Amino acid sequence: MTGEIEKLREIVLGDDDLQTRLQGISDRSEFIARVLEVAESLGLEIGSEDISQAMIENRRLWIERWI
Amino acid sequence: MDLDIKKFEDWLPVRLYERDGGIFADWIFLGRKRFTEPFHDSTLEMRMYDHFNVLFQRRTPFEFLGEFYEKSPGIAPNGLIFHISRCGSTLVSQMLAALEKNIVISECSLLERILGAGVSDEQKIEWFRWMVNAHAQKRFPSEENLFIKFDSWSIFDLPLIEKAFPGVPWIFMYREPVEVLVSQVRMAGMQMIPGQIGAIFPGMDVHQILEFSTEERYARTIAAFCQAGIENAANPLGRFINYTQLPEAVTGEICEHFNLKFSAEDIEKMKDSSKSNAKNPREKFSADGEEKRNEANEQLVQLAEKFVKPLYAQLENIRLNKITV
Repeated sequence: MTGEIEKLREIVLGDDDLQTRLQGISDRSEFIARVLEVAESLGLEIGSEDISQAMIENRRLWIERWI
Repeated sequence: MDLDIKKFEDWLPVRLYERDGGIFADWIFLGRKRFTEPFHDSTLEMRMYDHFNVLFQRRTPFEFLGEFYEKSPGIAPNGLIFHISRCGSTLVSQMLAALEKNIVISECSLLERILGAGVSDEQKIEWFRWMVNAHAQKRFPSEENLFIKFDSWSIFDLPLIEKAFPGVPWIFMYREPVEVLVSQVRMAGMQMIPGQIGAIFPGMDVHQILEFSTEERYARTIAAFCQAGIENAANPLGRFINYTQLPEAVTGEICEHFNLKFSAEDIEKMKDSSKSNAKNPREKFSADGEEKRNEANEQLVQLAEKFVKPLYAQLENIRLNKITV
């Protein structure tokens, strides 16, 4: 996970309002767009590709959690 | 530890892993979701459809679960469910989960992982309590009871689980052996993976286990579960339940054994849920014992007779004697 994504994660997990804004979105493109909005408002340099990569990596860890 | 316990309300640990010499836990946001799916992992999988949970997981040292246990004690278990697999245990857990006052943890992989960890029994007991507690948080005002249904192989760990939660009543469920074996032949469970559960074939390596035919391996596995149940027969906290007693036993003998008193309305709700197929609640439940016995080939019947039927007879003796005590 890139440093900027990690920063975003820390900020979001410390802010209940941001979490509420980003929870429950089932459409992947919409979710990424909302995350980009949040990142931009926080002055973080994050692109949609960074978010996609981080999600792919976390998915992989999830799938491999019993290995 | 500098972590705000309140931030973990409605969050659940879902993954344990080692990194840099320490053990860590990842948590996902459960939200206002009860554990109503037939299996705990299915609930988690559904929560992972929320992209938020993919990108924003909380990460804590594993010891944080200990702090959580101390500072945020959940509901203590009312009853534990052990079984030989394919014998109606999911029907029991689903009937209990039909009531909003009940939290039912059904075959939670993280609990099994802790029971199988290569650490001392004392450490396992402590970790096991921590992990149960994280799942036992009272997240809705209606919640007041907790039940844990284990995977079939956890019967080997019953003495350890009892040390973690002394005095908690448990049931051990079983079913006519041919019916169980036919179900496993149709679609084998995790417990049938050779070498996966060491206690099933003690002292044997995978190559030796694979020398048995598939059907014999299945029969020996079910026999090992039955035997482990029988070894706990003298335990006054135990009650042995045959599939044939379902679903009536859930609202009767099992509730009584777990010291539960439900209202007539609750009982009706539980009975309603028993009309669905427990593992696929969208389908209706249908008794399939005869169909399964008819499907068994001669070899499977003989293996059931040789390895499992004598133990089944013992289980029936235990059950009937316990009832008449």
